[in-house]
Amino acid sequence: MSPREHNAPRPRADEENTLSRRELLGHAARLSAGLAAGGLAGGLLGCRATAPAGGGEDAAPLESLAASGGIDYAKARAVPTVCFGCTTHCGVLGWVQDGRVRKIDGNPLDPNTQGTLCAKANGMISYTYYPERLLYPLRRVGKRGAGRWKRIGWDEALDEVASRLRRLREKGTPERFVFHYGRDKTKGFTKRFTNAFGTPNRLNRRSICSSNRRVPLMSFYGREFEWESQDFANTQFVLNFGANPMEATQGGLFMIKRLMDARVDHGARLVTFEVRPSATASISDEFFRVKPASDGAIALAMAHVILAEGLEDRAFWDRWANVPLGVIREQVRPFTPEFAERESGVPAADIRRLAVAFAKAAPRCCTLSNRGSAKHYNGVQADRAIRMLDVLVGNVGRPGGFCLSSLRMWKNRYGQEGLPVLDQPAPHPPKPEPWRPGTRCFESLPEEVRRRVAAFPPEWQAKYYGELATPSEYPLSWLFYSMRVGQLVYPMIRDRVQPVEVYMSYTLGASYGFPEAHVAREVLADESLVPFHVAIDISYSEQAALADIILPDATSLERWDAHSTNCYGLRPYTAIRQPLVEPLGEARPVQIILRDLARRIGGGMERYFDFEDLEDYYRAWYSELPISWEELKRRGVWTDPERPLDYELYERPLTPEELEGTKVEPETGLVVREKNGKRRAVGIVQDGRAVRGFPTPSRKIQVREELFPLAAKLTGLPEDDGNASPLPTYQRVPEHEDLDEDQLVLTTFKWNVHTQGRSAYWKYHAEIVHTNPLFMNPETGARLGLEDGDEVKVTVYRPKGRTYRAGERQPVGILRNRVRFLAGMHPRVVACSHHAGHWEHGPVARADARPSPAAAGTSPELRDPDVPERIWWSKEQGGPGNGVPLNDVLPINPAPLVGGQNWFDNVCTVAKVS
Amino acid sequence: MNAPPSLDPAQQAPLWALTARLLLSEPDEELRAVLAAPPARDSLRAIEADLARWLAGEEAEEAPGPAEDFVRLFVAPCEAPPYASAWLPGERELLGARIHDFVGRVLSALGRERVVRPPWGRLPLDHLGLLCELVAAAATEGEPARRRAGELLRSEVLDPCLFPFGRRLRERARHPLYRAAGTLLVALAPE
Repeated sequence: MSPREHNAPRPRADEENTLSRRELLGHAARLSAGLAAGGLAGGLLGCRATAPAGGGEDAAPLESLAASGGIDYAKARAVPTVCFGCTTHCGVLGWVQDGRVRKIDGNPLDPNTQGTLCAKANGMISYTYYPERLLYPLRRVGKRGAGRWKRIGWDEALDEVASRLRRLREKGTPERFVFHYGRDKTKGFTKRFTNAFGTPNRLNRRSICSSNRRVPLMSFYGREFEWESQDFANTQFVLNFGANPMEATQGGLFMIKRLMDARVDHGARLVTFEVRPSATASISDEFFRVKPASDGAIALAMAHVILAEGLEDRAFWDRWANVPLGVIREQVRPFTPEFAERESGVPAADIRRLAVAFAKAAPRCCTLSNRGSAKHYNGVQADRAIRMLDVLVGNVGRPGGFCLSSLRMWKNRYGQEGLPVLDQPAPHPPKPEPWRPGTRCFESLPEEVRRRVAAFPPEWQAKYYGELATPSEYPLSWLFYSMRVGQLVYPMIRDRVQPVEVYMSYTLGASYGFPEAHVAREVLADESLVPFHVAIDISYSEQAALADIILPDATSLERWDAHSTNCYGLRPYTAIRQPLVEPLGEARPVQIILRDLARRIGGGMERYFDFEDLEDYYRAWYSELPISWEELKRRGVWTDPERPLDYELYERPLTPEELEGTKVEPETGLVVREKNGKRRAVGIVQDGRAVRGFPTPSRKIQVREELFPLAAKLTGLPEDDGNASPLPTYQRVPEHEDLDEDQLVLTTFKWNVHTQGRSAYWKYHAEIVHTNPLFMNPETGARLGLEDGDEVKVTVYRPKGRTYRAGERQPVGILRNRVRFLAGMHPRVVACSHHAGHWEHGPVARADARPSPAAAGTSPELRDPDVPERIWWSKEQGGPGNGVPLNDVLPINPAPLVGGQNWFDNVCTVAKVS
Repeated sequence: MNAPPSLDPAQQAPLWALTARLLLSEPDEELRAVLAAPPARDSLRAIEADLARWLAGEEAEEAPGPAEDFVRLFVAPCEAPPYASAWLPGERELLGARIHDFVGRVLSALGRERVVRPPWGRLPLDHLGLLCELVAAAATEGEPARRRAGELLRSEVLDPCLFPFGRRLRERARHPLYRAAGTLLVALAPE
């Protein structure tokens, strides 16, 4: 069903039967008698007898419904686990009583959250117990997407999927199996499956989310550091370029808890540059309303000021930056505060003042950025410019500064010395072979692609696995880390760049949440493009609606996972997710689904899945921990409280074991190890001491990164495009260059109670936020002849930079919405959140309700005076409805080289609907 | 509780057993045979004239069969969620916690336990099919405490759901069997 069809008025069934109630009851009486005579007995369906009549003495007293529910803390037990409300992995306690999770609290033992919790955590209860949850395997019986299903057993479902997958392996074309996930927190389990199967096509949605902000960080500090850990607890001054940790940033709760403490305890200051009054902007000491995509200009101007004022930490720069300071001085010379004022609207005097304040607070200062600065055509370079500010003032890794905690406790991680190693149980399936020139897979690719890849350096070719997994036009999406370019997967399948035979989507909302989501729907609906689609999910999503087989997943309250993420307490830790209750219905954890598929597929695959249950599997992960498995389950987390904090990891000397078999290169001072003919730097000599340095090729902070111009050259991006620059730079977003008077920039955002498109069906969260009006500055509204609440037509246009279908003149799409005036908005920006307008996920997400009089027999005390009807925001109840599916009209717009979706560059016009 | 005028709880038991069957599993030939026998057939045809062909063993080619409609209505996309927590007015606790507790105690009072096996697996305790089954079972119990448990289950949980759920079922059902069920449930709702 399309959104348009969904929004159309539904035909109403007759409200009343032609028979009177009395007549109906008469028929009911005769029917009942007939059934009794016909032998319809109460069967053994949902329950069975366990005690003879007269038994049940131990039963709890039967009180009224009103007296039931809630938590009896004398009976309930708190079980630690890990939240799955977003990507942040907060440690939580689930209160379980009588086999049901009643309440979620923060786990005070979690060193990241320190016992705090956000609104999304209780979403786990919502999605575990909401009435439209997927509980049974289903097979499509009508046309794909027609919503016609048959309930089937697990054996039938798994046999069918396994037989199709087995055929691909037997044909020698395992790469035609594509596993595409949205949120996979199984800690490599799904990769174990795809590797064992032999396909490299384990796709994700990182380009939708974070790749534009990860690449700048990883290019500076090494691929180990896909996320930073600012020392907010001890900081004095934070420059925030468009991040919104109060509501949505990964790790937001960890950050904001410490930042708020720092503001209260020792007067830390928070300065935010944003296009709209986000929750973070609203609590900032200073909020500058900036033009979209101007963050890079501000950051470079601040660098200009810091250097002009001589406030840089020269010693730190000379020791740890990979480029002479003079080069940077030249690079930032044109980016004056006056230039930045013209680009951003922030007064030059304020830029000077803030740059000086930031530098003088060093090292107790840090930058903060995320999607707000990065999700633009110029976003990667903007984030590199922001990252450079920390290097200039020398706050990197220092108390109160921009820290980089040893990331996670998995095998062979930087800064891991002295920590137990957490790893999957052996045997480990081998990775698939790269698609090198001459191989079958490579030679099946289009000629243009083969020509491009053939020119790549050998070390790039060694990481190339075809266009779906490693799109050759976006090499920086996969050279650092497997980020893919998810929004291009469906156009590539449509254009038959690579054949797909079995497509498995797992917790993926592409058919709703990707830009131009209709492309995903069109491709998935076409059986000639995707012959077989299996969806694993907990909810009947827009994606699942387009499957051939649906497999119901257990929720995060019903399964095991392993976790270890960067800690803002600067001490590594690990946490486990453990089941609080058994899965409802016939749902099964995805790991069990994949294990059972592997066993059915056979052919050697099954040997990687030789475990009885998930507890066995994850217990093996933690075998090196210094506490017992039972203790880990009791605490939910483990950390070493005696371990020194992760300050200045780069200055730590290499251990004798690490130095063994290495040599020092005299020209660079690099400590290198050669293994199997490959040279790898493991440290650097500083002041005669071999220290760890940063996990980059130079073991220094790579402010200059030659991968950018090289990737540009090899993919045909002109060298004058800012994205090709080895040094941080700034260029305008091409489509923002010459905006017409009536054109605005349409930006999107998230709310603090929602997580992308996956939470609109969480009942209590939907009560708080259920729609997505178009926020607009009142002055802009007046200029357009609009009043608050008017219905408007929003027309969105294609971008103009070097990206997908750039420059096409026809609009991407047109959307109708209501405007909401908001004084803090930038006057050239309109903002619309992107979680609303669902047409699947059940009645709560669809705001699909009809008014119904309160039924008789209800106790008055059961009525909630605030909720006269269950889905009171539905249009039927006179409410605003469930919003509009914004993503359909946003253009697919991957950033050059990196591929991150430029969510915030959209150019649109807004006109009143007469 | 307002019972149909001519039915006492024990006489209603087959109706609730039928409702449980309709909500918990796809209709099969056995069920059709029971429903096609007079006088059940005549009552059903009076309630929903379009049922005649199905009761006679004929299927309309263009319409979904009852098994497909069962999944559409009660499983996915779940057009008429068969769960009390979706329909009980004013449900304030997080998604049916009170119903869960209450039904758990009713099960216990009736000396029963939830079945955990395919195809239902671990059936949520607020499943209306389960509640109907319990009401049907309690209605025929000899022990007053058990009959009382069934009556309390009906008045506290089932009755308030009958009108909104029955109406949704009647509106959204494509197969006449479920339209008939919806009509009946609305009629059985207390005034």
